[in-house]
Amino acid sequence: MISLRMSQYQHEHSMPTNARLIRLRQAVEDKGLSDMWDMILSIDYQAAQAADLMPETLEQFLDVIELLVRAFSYND
Amino acid sequence: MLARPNYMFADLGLDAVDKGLADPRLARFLEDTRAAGGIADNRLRLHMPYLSLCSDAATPSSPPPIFYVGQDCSQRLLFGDEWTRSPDASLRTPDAELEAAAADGYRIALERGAYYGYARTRLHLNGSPVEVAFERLIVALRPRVGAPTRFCAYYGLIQSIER
Repeated sequence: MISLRMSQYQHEHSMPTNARLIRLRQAVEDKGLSDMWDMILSIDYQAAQAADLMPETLEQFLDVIELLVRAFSYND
Repeated sequence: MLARPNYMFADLGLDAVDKGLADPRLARFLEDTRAAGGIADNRLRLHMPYLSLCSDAATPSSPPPIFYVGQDCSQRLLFGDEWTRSPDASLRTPDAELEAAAADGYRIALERGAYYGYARTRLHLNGSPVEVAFERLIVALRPRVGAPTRFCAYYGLIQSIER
């Protein structure tokens, strides 16, 4: 389940990050890695939701998630 | 760039940690993961800057691919920041021979729950050949109780770098 806090108006510059967030969240769910997502978010970022992160921190988190998805794609 | 290295990897076993022979930072990490029952809970937070995390896909010739490299992790200190920004393939340290030599530790950690060992290896750092000695503790963890996914947390501690 994707949980994003979005205001009604979104600046267009925020869309690429949100698109990346949605893409990676979907990939994480497809690979059964939601527990890993939650663990990294909670332990390393002390946040309950990715949407709680500041934009730059969110990008760093998504960099880790990108590697996570690759690291667990060995059966693909 | 890395030269052709000589490697020596020794499995010292967890008894060595329990007997107080390991660096106290590694011993504390093992103690915390044991107290957490092999679950990555808040006790892991203290250690995160020094850890690299990887999947559970160890093979006889390669350790699992890495997905997280802490800011003060020994691999980052040795190999620099650049290799952590691999654009496509899964992240691995940049020396295939060293990777192969290191693989056993991950396999053992996944079998037994944890691995503690000592290693010496020759590398090129900033263009100069060096011999690096390090302790390494690898622990297999789950992100929560009952989670089907496992991953490895690597804590490496450089003991010496000799030119």
